[in-house]
Amino acid sequence: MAEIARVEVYVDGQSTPYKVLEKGPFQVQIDPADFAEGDHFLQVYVYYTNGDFHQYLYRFSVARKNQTFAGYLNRAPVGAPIEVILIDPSEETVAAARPNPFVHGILPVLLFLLIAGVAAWFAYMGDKSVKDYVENIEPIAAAAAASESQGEAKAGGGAVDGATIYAQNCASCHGPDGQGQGDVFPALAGNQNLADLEMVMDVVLHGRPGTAMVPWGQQLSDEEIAAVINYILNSWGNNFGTVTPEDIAARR
Amino acid sequence: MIDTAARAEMVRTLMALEFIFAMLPGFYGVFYVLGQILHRRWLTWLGYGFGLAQLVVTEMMIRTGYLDTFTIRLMIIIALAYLVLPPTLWHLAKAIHRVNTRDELQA
Amino acid sequence: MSATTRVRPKLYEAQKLAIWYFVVAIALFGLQLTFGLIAAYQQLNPEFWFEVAPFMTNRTLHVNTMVVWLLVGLVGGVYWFLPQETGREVVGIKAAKIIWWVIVAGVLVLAGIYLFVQYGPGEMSTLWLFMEGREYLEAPRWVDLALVLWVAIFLYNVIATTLASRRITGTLMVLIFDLVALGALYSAGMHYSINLTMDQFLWWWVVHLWVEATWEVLVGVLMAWSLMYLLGTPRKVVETWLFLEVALVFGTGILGLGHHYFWIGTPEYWLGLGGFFSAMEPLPLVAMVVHALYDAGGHRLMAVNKPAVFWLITQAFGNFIGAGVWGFMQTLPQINMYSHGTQLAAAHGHLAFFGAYLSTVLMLAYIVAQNAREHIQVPLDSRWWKWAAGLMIFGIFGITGAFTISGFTQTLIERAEGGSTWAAFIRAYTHPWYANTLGWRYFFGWVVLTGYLILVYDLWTIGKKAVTHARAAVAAVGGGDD
Repeated sequence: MAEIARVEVYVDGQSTPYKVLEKGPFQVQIDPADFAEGDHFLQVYVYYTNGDFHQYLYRFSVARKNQTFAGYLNRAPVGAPIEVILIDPSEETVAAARPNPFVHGILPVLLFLLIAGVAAWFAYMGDKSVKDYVENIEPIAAAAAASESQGEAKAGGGAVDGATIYAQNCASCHGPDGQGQGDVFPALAGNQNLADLEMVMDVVLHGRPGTAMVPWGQQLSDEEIAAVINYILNSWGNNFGTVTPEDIAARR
Repeated sequence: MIDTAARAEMVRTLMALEFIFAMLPGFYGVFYVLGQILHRRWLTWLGYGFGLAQLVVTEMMIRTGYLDTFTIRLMIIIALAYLVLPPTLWHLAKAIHRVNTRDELQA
Repeated sequence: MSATTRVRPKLYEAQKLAIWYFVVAIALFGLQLTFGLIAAYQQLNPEFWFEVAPFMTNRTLHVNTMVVWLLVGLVGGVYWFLPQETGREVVGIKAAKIIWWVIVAGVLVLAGIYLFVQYGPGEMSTLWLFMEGREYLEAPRWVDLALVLWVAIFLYNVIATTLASRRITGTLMVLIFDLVALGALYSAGMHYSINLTMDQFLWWWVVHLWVEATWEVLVGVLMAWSLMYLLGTPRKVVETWLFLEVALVFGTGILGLGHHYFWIGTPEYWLGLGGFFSAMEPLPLVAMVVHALYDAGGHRLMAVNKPAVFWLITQAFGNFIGAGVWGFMQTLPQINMYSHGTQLAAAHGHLAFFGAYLSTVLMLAYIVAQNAREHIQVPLDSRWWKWAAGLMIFGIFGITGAFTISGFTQTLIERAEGGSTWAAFIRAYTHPWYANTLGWRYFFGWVVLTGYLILVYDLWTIGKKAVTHARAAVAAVGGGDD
């Protein structure tokens, strides 16, 4: 930072400077007696030898209670005229602190690379753990699924199991034992409305608009819907009869 | 395992207490500092009151019986830290200003 | 009291650039509010514009524009103060200007993509051209790279100007290292992994370490410069306090990251680490409140720029209440287990960003507005800034209150009591505490927008002519206006 060449002080926006200083110490005397009670402003224009220019705005207040607040010494109550320091002394001496090209130039770049590198390393390790999943865990899951389907085939499967369909699609809302949840999901166990088989088939196929009940006609086949309805109609103490896949197909 | 209604009640109580717990050091700091700036002793004492209220809230949180030992110790440490924080910060701010300006705020 | 004006001294090129930064920032603020209002209305009427711009798109744009305009405002603040701090024109100002207009064009193209293209085929080309599929901090790769270039040029400006001025100050040193961390951390959010835990693990580096560490420190630096400008606080005082804040913010904030790692599949030790350090996070915020009160109280609020000082003090309190209190309420793992990701997070987000960052940017905007005109008005004051500030603060507290109530309902009914079942979800969302507060949000959104419109008008007109207040007394040594 260049040397200070000239300091002009203006008071309350007047066009002529209150004081002009060509050399330090850059202080101006403010006598409360010169000012009316109330708020005033100091505008400090600082010109540097290299042509740079700084402006500082300070506000001070004069009160007959012997208090003047001004600029840098903004809390010094005075009974007599005070010397106001116009420029923070550290602004004059701080020029001695020079930036170091390594500490303030190269070190930040190294720090940047370190943080970005650590993030990239974490991302790399994350992807590696995904490979572990693909290579090791997925084959185990595939093997388990294969042995399960073999077991089903041995049991002469292919038959549609209403209990399984219920557990997979219905139990999350209507409860594993058809007990329902609160007012939103009605209980199926012991629900006398189920005696109306046509209503039951319609609701399962097409849902019930305006409620949480969604239509299942698109996801499940006639056989599956018939199986799950029969399971519901004849479980948990219910005894409301049976429906056939043909009945379902007729109501689609 | 406690039942879900009791759990919800516990979470509600703890959340409300935590809200107050976090609010109190702010009140403590504000009233303590205002008391110092305006030279009003009762404002400072009000600040101390909020500081002590924090200990009470800590005690209430522990009494819910929902917190584990680590959290209980943590809350006690934080409550004590907040108890000394505003005066420490105030004196620090004053010291910094006194070294660098002819600050007569306390005069 | 007399309002005086003087002819403005010549502005540095970097300061002229900073004015553009604030113009764009305030414009983006308006966009953010618009998207927020649309999203709020879509909560009431989900079918509104569902085919055109669904809620998720509006919400992403609402959050994204917020991040961008706040960052633009903070960077603009640095460009404003940097020439004054170093006493010279910013080195590489040409590159800074070019990259700035590239970024503005990029942001416009990006907004167009989100509004009109919205999604791609889900291959790597989508990631590069359209979107990364994140909820927020969402940008396609090409924008990511442009942002990194922007930060890199900005960093070059700061470091080269410091070295060229042959003058180093405490604030400049903090600024340099903070910007390095800010830029490098953004790279963490650019990686892509199908391992969701790892993806989130790195994504939180950006989200948390930005807003709770590097942004807070950047705000600290800008606050230090603003305090020197507004209140004439000595450099040694602001720098000593800045070092204290940096130590507290980094000391508590970096490992406070743990509170995002409670329940995303990270190791269990994060429960203890995150719980401990995030409980300490309000410490620096209390410190800020104490210091703001000390300085403002000591000055009896006397300053050269009234709206800026108002926002400075709002910042200290807003930061503490929004980030500290609303954050701490849900930070213990035992609570967070039920509250994370509910509307409580949104409540915390709204108040914390408003208190910590919006106040800072508006304070800087008023400082710039004071010096951007032909004449400088001292003290800068108007009738309208109080209305703008009052409406926006009232509105944001209304929004936060509405979010808090619905968040409580979700946490208690859907999570803690109902165990996150489908039935509990419906029960929470149809509960009057949830359903009714949706309307409040929308209403208070309009309040904030009204405040915003007044703010724009005020920033446009404030200081254009000398305001004559009732004078307490005529100064003996004059007091006339130029």
